[in-house]
Parts: sequence; C-alpha cells; structure tokens
Amino acid sequence: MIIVYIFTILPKISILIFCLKFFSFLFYPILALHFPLFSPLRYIFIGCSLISIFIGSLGAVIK
Amino acid sequence: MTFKRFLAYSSIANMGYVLLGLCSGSFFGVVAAIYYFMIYIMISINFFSIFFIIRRYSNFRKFRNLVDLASISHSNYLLSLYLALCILSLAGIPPLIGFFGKFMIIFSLIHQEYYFLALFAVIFSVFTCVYYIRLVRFLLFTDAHKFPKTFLAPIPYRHLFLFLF
Repeated sequence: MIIVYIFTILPKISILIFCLKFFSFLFYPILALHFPLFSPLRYIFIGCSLISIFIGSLGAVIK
Repeated sequence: MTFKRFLAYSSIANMGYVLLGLCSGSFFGVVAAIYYFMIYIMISINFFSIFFIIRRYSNFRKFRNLVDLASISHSNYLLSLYLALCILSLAGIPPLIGFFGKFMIIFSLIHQEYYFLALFAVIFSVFTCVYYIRLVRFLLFTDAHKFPKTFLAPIPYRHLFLFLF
C-alpha cells in the first residue's frame, strides 16, 4: 500500500510543479511550446506517466 | 475491493493520462492535459458527493466494499444510474465527457508522433475499462433484492442538481 500511496502523490506533485512553471510563463504562451524535445525532464515525465498508468490499470484488476 | 483502494488506483491511472498529455510537449497536448484534469475533478466531485449523500441518508452506516453498491440500486435507482454514468465517463465510453479527454490526449500523442505511447494509453485504458465495467455490473445488473436497503429515508431530489454536468 505504501507504493500505491507514493504513486498517488508523485504524479500530482510533478503536475503541480509543471503547472506552476506553465502559469508563470502565461504571458508568453509560446514558451510552453519550447519544451525541449530530448530533455531529461521529458523522460522523467514519460516514465512517471507510464508507471502510474501501469500500476493504476493493473493494480485494480489483479487485486 | 474497497472504495478507498478503487479511488486510489483510479486516481493513479488518470494522473498518468494527464502526464502523458503534458509529455507530448505541444500546446494542444498541454490543453488536453488541463482539459482532462478538469474533467477528472468534476467526476471526482460527483463521486464524492454521491458517497456523501449515501452516507448522510443511510444514517452513517459503514459502506466500504464494492459489493455494497448493489444495495444502492435497490434503494434509489436514479442515484445508482448517476453513479454508473460517472463510472462509465471515467472509463471513457464514447458519448460521455471522459471519452473526449482521453481522445484529446491520445490525439495529441499521435500528432507529435509518439505512436508507442498512444498505443500504450489505448491498451491500458482497455484494462482500466475492465474494472470500471465490473463496478457497473455490481451497481445495475446484480439481483438487488438479495441486499438490504441502504437508505433509511428517501433522498430529496434537490440534491440531484449536483449531477447535472
């Protein structure tokens, strides 16, 4: 259950950080498009989202 | 399975979809992620308001397991229908609003040529559908007369404005 709680909280924190960054550049919306293609942040996001979808989908089916 | 665990897993999976929208990196992907987040907030409000109403009108009876859902349809069929619509919306069944959020996110991924991520999202949304539809089966298609009535008093219809969106 600890793993479940961690993966419940972790994506929300990262979304919060992203939203804070996104809304700080609200006056220059074009900067949101300049999210670098191969930045490590993008890979962290992709990994986090894939793991959370995997756990969220299969966890409830298996349990 | 308990409601707490169900909502936790559902939250994990849906936040994954929101992150996928952000991962696409396009403006459309960010818009899709925010749109999906708003939809998830609305459906969560619906969920919790339905459960609060059930708790209030069942004299704060313990209502934990998913099997207890069958007793809702025995007590108030309209409420169980609203709950089923919320669940189907979370599952992403086409005429409901949850479908459009998932569609926008998958569309943004395909637009940015992340075909693997789009395929992953589609396959796992099917897996997620399994337990949502199992929930709807508990809610609407079990023989409700085997279960005792949940509510001690009928629910006033003034509370039902919560579920209009």
